Amino acid sequence: MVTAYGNDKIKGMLRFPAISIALAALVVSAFAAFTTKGLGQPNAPITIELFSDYQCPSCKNLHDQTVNQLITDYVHKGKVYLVHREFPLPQHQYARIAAAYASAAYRIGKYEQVGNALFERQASWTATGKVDEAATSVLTPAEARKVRDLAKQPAIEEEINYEVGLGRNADVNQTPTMIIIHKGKKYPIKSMVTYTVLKQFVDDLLKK
Amino acid sequence: MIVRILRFILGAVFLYAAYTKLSQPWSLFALSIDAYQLLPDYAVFAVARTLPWLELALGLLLLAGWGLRWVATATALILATFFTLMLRSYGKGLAIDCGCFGVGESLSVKTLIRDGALLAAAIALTVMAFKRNVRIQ
Repeated sequence: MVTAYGNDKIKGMLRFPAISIALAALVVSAFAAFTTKGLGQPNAPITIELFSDYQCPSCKNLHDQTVNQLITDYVHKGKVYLVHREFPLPQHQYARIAAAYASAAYRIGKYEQVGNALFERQASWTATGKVDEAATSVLTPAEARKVRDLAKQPAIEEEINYEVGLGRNADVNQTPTMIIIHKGKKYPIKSMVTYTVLKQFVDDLLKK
Repeated sequence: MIVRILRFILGAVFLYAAYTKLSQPWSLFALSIDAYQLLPDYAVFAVARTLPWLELALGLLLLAGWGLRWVATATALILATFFTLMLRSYGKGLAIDCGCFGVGESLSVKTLIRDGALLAAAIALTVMAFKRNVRIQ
């Protein structure tokens, strides 16, 4: 009965356009709040959505050899908006836990640091399962406690599921996958690519 | 008749492959080549700039039927190269784009079967062209 009461109440509210718009805005903002781990200017001419798995060796290579340089040369200069999407693969035992730590770290403004630490120590925690140790190695004790608590929350799990769903809807079936978006056109790039070749493509798009 | 059908199929496939690459920035094709992790950057760029034009030329020549012996041989060689590289990458477990017709198509058993069938068709065309002293069909 509680559900029926709730539904009736919502239906009643939806009769008033102002309330409906406010409700919609609330839903959209709540959703957006935990779904965009963006780096750089959102209005940059190019957006790159990067679907990645912290336990995947190719993702580490892409991160170390390509993405870091891309951040320095394009993201920090306002030319590229980089959106990180968690896409832990089911065959990677600790990938989802790592994604949870990274997502939790984003909420305290430490996403890049924790992400870097997870990739840097990938070989170690992949072998031992000590994700916590790797993820919190770059945090203060207070930050580490906060991240641990956040990582266990259902909202983080939902966020990861949502991002995996976004990937599936975009035909992502492997990591790393970059979806480069320019003037509404999407270019899916699967696998590791070198910085020089990616740079050439980004420059070509910027000239268009 | 068979020669004409093979020429038409291979010519159309090569023209379509060239079109999908030439209608996009050449550097997008470079990203697909780079994913195979075989060539240094300068060679990736060289192949990305020239291969689509080679495919276009082969497609036109196949449809026209000019110099069929040599065109069919070149087509078989280029397809054999593609097939070998795709097989190698698939065997190594590289989950990459095949780069056959633009971006977005993953390298899979399906793409291997398709490329293998095209290679068989190109070899058959080459053999027939040499056997029958084919001019314009």
